[in-house]
Amino acid sequence: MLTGVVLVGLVSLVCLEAFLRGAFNHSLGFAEELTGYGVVFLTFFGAALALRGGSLFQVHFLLDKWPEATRRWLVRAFVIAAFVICVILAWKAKDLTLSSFSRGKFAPTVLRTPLWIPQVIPPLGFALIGFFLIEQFLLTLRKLKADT
Amino acid sequence: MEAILAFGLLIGLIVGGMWVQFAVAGAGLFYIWLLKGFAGFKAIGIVSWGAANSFTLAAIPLFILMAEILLGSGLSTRLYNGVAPFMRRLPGGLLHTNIAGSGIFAAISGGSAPTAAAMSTVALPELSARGYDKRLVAGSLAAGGTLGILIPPSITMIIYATFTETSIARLFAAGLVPGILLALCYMGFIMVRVLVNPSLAPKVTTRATPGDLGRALLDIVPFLMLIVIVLGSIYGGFATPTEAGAVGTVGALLIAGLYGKLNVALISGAISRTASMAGNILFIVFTSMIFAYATALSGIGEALVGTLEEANVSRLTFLLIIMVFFAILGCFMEGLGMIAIIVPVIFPALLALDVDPIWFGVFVVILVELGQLTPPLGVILFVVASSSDEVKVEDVIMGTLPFFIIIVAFMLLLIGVPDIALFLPEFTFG
Repeated sequence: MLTGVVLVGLVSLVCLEAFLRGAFNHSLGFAEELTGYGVVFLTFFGAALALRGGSLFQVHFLLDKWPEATRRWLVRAFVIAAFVICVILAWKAKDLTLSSFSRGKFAPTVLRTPLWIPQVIPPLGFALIGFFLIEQFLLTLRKLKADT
Repeated sequence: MEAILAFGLLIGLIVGGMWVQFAVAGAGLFYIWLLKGFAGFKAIGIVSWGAANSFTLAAIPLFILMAEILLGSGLSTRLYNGVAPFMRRLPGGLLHTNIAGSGIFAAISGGSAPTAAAMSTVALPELSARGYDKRLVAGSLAAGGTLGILIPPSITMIIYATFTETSIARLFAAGLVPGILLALCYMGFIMVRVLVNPSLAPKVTTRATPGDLGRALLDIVPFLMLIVIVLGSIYGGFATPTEAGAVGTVGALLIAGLYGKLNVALISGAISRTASMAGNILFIVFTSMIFAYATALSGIGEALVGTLEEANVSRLTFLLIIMVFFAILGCFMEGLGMIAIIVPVIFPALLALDVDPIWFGVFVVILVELGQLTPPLGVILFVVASSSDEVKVEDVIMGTLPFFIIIVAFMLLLIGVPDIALFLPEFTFG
């Protein structure tokens, strides 16, 4: 829902900027900055949606050739590895956010947005992706139980 | 040695079945750790923020949304029916509609999979029922689908531009003529095949009346206007590609409304699919930036330049090596990831060998096209095969084979005559 709102906001904002610039030679001055933040949001929350929907890019041809049990263990190993990667990246993104907050950094733009505000999106996004990875892991366990 | 380990891990994880984005991020982190230890992770926060916070990349969700609105509203049928009367008298009849329709849809969509899906769902059942050779039908649809990433707007080109800091507008201009020429090559091949073996396609003897052609034209005109607005605004310098994407999205909504297809379900479905697809692509760009940071730290690009100079490798030899390398890699790796991982490594070598980055952008996009037609990972093969029960993946592969050869021959022509790609950007932007 929120991702959809951001997408609609992105279209509206960029259209408005193009219209004002084309028709009145006037720029909002903040469209580029806010659009960038919208892209950050879509990157992480869109990826989380793709992961949950099972459409995150994945090469299946070799994975599908393994026997069911082996395949399940491999998937579990991949989920754990992805979770570890997610935690590392979330941790580093969190460090950047805290650093911007403690140093009182602002975007060098018209809005002078405190940078920690948009920079909070990546750690939150990684947290959501991590949450869906845990869900994937639990689903593989549930399948195992159902089989036995 | 570090590079071999990192690239080995990357390919191993991708081929093994890990999500591509996490495989790239994992291999990137591993590469950084090999080079600098855990201290190397310090800059990841700022590197990744810089990668994600981009106005240019906003063009990706906007072009996806534009195509999704058109696709979701079933307008591909109207486009197909609009093109058909103009093509059906040619030898090969409606097979040309697959190519021309794909070419037009490519100009309003940023990718190959939507283009192939849009045309295949309409054309496969229709042409199979009319007695066209199913392999040739499937091959023409798959080949036509690949035009989606060559004819602008192209998401693949936006990603190439992001990693090489080249102008998207120039890339979009560079892709247009090769895209049209390639489409004409496909159509020429279809004509020759049908003239040699007329049983491949039924002959259409009835002439379309002026009324038929007028009605067909009415079906295509809104699409053509959208193309003119989107591409014209970029080429004319009135709008950035991102702005053109937003304006195109509004145009797609207007077209859907014009044909009475606009409703809440269509919009929410398009937004939902766009969010997921855009997240998928943007996340791969994000993780690839981490890998690109590792390759920059390693200095592998400069080392490659040194090796090439030492071995006295010519421009032509290097390009042929790249062709073979991408063709092999394309069997196992997704196209966008391939560009995001390989291009930063070879880019210094390209500049050292005096290869024009805009020209190479077109060249590499055609290489990705080849990858999309190569089993076992050829996305387009599966998109076409899944569009109808009439064809199997094997049919699509066999049908695509001659088009694959045409693409390779076209690439060699592009090496010999680079102006095919460079003429339009030089003419338009100077």
